[in-house]
Amino acid sequence: MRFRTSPGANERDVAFREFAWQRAASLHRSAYLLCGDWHLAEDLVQEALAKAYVHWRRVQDADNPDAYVRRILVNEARRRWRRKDAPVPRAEAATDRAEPDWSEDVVRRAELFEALLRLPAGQRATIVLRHLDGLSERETAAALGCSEGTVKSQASRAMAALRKYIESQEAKA
Amino acid sequence: MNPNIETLLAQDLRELTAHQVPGPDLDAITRRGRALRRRRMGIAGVGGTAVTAAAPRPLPTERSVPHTR
Repeated sequence: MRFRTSPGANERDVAFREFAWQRAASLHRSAYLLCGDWHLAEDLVQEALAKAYVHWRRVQDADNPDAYVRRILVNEARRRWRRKDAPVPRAEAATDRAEPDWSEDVVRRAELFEALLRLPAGQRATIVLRHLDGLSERETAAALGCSEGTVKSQASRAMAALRKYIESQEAKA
Repeated sequence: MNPNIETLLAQDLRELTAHQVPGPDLDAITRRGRALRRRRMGIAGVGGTAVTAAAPRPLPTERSVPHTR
């Protein structure tokens, strides 16, 4: 399916809408792992893309427009986490399916999701950008506005925390 | 980092997000973007007016001082 343009849309709007149409699904998935809720994720993506619309010229001129918008998304997610009334992310993935499938893989993924949502914001964003979005360390650093060294250390800490959490869950079972 | 663990992690993250994502509401996004832009321009406008009002007036130059004679 192709994106729709509204009647009377100018060239700028058409270019933006095409960009948003192509990136929205991927941003939505990343946002879900950042906040733990599909509806909040949708709102996060809308806000991030609305901000991209405001700064469209800058997005277009960026070396990597996709990384630029992901940076807006991560910053928006962080801004919401900092708010006192922000909802605490909760895992919904394991119960979100029509027919529960309690195979080993599903349980492992549910535990991974729980562990991911317990990570500090920066570490979680690093894992999502590196391993879901498939960005390189350099691209992740650009998207997070930090150095490649910070990305490496955040990823290493996050992996250690994920492993520790999953092992502790397995020991309990 | 162990490449096998990385591959498994990437696979699991993809599975966790293997959900039918609705298409973006482009009209809502552009409306929100325009509203944001208007708000920002409004704030910038008010800020600019305030700065102009608070700015010190230039000292009168010889030419601007009216001749009293």
